Amino acid sequence: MTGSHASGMDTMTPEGLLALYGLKQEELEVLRTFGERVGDHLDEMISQWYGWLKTYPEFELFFSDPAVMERARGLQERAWEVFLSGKIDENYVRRRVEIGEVHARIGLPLSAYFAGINHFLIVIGEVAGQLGVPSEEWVQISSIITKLMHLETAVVVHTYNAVTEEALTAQAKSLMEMSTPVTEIWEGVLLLPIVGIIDSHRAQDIMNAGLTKIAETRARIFILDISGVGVVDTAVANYLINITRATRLMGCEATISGVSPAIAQTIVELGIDVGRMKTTATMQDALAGAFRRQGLEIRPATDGDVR
Amino acid sequence: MSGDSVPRVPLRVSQGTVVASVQVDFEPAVLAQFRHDLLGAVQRSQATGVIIDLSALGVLDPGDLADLRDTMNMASLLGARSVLAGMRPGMVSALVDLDADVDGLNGVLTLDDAFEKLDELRDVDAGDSWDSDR
Repeated sequence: MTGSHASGMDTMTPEGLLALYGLKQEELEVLRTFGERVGDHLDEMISQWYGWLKTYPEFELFFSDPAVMERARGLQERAWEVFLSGKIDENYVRRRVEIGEVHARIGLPLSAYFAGINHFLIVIGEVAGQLGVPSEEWVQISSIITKLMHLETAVVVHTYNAVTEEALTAQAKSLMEMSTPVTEIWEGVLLLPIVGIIDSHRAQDIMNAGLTKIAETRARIFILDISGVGVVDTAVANYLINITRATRLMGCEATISGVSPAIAQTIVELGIDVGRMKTTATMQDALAGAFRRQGLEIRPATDGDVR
Repeated sequence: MSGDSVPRVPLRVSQGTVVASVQVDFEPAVLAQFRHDLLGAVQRSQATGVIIDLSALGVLDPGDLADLRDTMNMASLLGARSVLAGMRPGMVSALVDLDADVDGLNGVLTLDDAFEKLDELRDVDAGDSWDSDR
């Protein structure tokens, strides 16, 4: 369980982390002693912390439901208890991974997490002051707390990032799969409306999907509508030219429709040689051309034809 | 070029067209033999069209294609227009990805389409085409 999102986290064993952040067992012992002293005040500290949290602008967004807040508070109290007990073991790391996962899932910004950590340090400092911890001793304790805090945030942030990245990758993948719906709109005529950005990966997808569909349907005409494509630069133009070339080898003429005046201007200004690539301003023109090539004509229905 | 050990591409003549059905992977020796055989067949049959059927071919790299293109240009000098038939999607996308020179090649999916395309090209040669920018 130590990481359903544990890419690179496998090395993050408690021992490894302690060594990495230069925390010695004696220091954890000091922290434990301190933790026992402030332990009685923990509840009060957390109340104070939540008092601060309420002033945070996004508070309402995440804790509008009292039940949710109650649960979060319970978990948090437990987390700080463990922190102050200086018991850095598998269980500790696992809990921190969970914190990162939860924060990522509810979309809590990392900046809020850091602000929260920072404020808790302030609260601990205040309690230490009230308890009359001598300043030399406090210097040592706060340095230990800082180190452990860094260790903790490292684990949380690592997990947070892993979860976010995973979500992004999944999203990109599903978008990519949805992005090439090559449709046979008429016998021998394929249509692919392209929306968004064309990069090399997507161009490859378009080419594969298009060629496969051409082989399948024996289409003679392939209309690529690019009215939904924002940017056409040299690279994109080259992808389109390549797709046109490839379809021609399979006996299918590709037409690029939806070329806006801005795109036409860019293509000429960039000095791109579109060669024999067929282009039209609107999809309507492309369709009309396709029907003509197929020997079909569109005409108004006479009265007798209307059903 | 003794031809005994080199696999040959079977050629058939039909409707004034030489149909070559490529069943073996192209190697330099195969391509040279094929060129020799094909040009000979075009001359003997006075064909005005050539169909090279690649549907049974596994691999075609840009070099092979360039060689085929040369052969087709030679056939053109003998008065025969050429059509490539039956290239598969994977082969086509690989060729284009590898920046093969494919401009001006006539590709079609099936043999029927190939005969149709040749008729079209012959019409163009006869000068009565709708497609003037050929």
